[in-house]
Amino acid sequence: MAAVWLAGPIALVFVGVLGLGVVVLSSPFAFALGQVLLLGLPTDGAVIAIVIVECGLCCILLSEYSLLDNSGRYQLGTVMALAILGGIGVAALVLSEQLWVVAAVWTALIAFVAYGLHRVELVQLNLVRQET
Amino acid sequence: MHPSRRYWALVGVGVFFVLLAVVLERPLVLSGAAGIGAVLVVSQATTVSAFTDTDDSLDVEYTLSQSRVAVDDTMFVTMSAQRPTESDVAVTVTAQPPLAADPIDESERQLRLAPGTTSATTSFEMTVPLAGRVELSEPTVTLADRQGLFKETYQRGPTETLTVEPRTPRDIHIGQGGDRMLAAYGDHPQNQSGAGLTPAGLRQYLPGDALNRIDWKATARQASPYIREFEVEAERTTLLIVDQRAAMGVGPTGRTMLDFTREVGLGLVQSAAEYNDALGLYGVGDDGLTVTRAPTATSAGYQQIRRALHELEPTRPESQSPDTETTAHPAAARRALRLLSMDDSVLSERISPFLDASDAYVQRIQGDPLFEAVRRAQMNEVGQTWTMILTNDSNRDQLRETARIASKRGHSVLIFLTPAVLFEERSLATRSETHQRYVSFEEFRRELHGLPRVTTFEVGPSEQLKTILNSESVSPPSESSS
Repeated sequence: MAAVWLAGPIALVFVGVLGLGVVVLSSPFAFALGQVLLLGLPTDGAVIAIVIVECGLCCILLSEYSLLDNSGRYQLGTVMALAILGGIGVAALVLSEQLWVVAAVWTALIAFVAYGLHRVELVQLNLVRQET
Repeated sequence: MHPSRRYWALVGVGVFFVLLAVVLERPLVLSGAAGIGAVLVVSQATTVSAFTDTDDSLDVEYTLSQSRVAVDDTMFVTMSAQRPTESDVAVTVTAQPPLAADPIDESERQLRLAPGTTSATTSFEMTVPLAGRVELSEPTVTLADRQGLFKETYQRGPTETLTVEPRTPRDIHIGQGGDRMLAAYGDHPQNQSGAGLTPAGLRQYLPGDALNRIDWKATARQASPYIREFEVEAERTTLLIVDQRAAMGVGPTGRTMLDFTREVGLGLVQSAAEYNDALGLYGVGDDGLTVTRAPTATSAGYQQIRRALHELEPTRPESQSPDTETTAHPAAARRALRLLSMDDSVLSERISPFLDASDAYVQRIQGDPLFEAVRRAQMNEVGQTWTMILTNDSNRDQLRETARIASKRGHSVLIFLTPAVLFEERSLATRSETHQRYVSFEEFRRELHGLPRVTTFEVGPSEQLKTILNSESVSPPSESSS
């Protein structure tokens, strides 16, 4: 079944919609659109097909940095971040066997890192006094 | 670091995937959240690094076209920004003109270093309507990443100080008959003690003050050294009477009769301060006294008088009919009456009653604001006073009588007279007439100068005076002994 939509006209529509999404909405939103579209497709037993599609979606996500200098560095950073999040997610899932725990751990981790980076920036730019 | 709407939209998408995965219990959906989360974290980390590098390397400079400028004069401010290497960070630098400056549109005083550029310059015009020292504050720097996720705004960079000077005439001529005078204030009694007995107030100790002048009780109370000032026992009281009536407003902007008079007044205040003379100021407007500062010999008092002089503006009369009529002086009228008494003609009979009535002259003089100001200023003074009258020659009868009353009781009078003819617009066709008017002024000045204890100087723009004197081969009438 998976092979059918992976190689058939559905795949072409899928790719077309994502290409349009990249142009109109930018890469991260096209990636999200792809993830939503993926939900509507039958995925039973099509592990390889899913991995291939996810890899494609990841490529779309990484194209976010294509205009930047040193884009390779950012892409590598994103892949590493994904790997770390994946590892933590798998660990949380194995330990708790609850999907919401994984979601909570990821949310907390990303919020913590984002706030930490925000504080680091204030210190680096010597803006701590101005903000408080 | 301020996240943009795009950042919050991506956060929303990530949260949406998290909730969807939990609700649908499909772990695969979490991969969407992970991807969005990874992009947000990596973008933020790289942006922090890029912002820090940009802040370290960014060099902003202000360049002023001049460091001193007159009030309301246009000057140019050039702002440049550069960074040594290209970067993905967009930088917007907004100059911060002084609060006292006229408003400048933000887009005019802003420069933008787009991603990939290393330098930018902008230039804008600035005018400041108030005199004083003003400062261009540190510019506002706004950093933005190329992905449109984050912004940061802060004030950092150079400052520049600008001195805004009041519009003042620069070519002041003070003299007599076209000759420049060297010293206006004249001789002054010496042997002053430099200290008085009447306390005038406290002020903070300044470097250079003698230690024995420290008031220890006040110092103990205030926890920092204080000096008690005393009214200096001056030998002479100087009364500065400045005419600011509408007629003193004649002349180009910044070079009116009042502007020249003000400069002379400021010089006199400086001289009075040097001699520790008690100095009082009286401003005379069209409807009477506008400024009254009782004589004082304190530094604060001199400062107040300086400030008051700077603030003087020509007044406007409440009634719009200026007093332009001329009434014969009673002595002249009596002389004419004596001559007419020997004439039996009809004309003589008709004219005689007009010459006999000297009341009109007296009423007109008594109603003159300058005359009243001098009388009032001298009323409260005992001892020797030096009355300095700064005015123009438009009301000659009144000024003559004012000088007479001011010099009574042994008072010395110094009159600084601005000839209206030097300030009015004139064309080449009226050169001869202008010269004649200046000669008439000079005759009047000498008449005043001839009064007992009255010294009269002319004040005006030296260039105009030179032009008038050179326009006719005839020089002003030679000075008679006075």
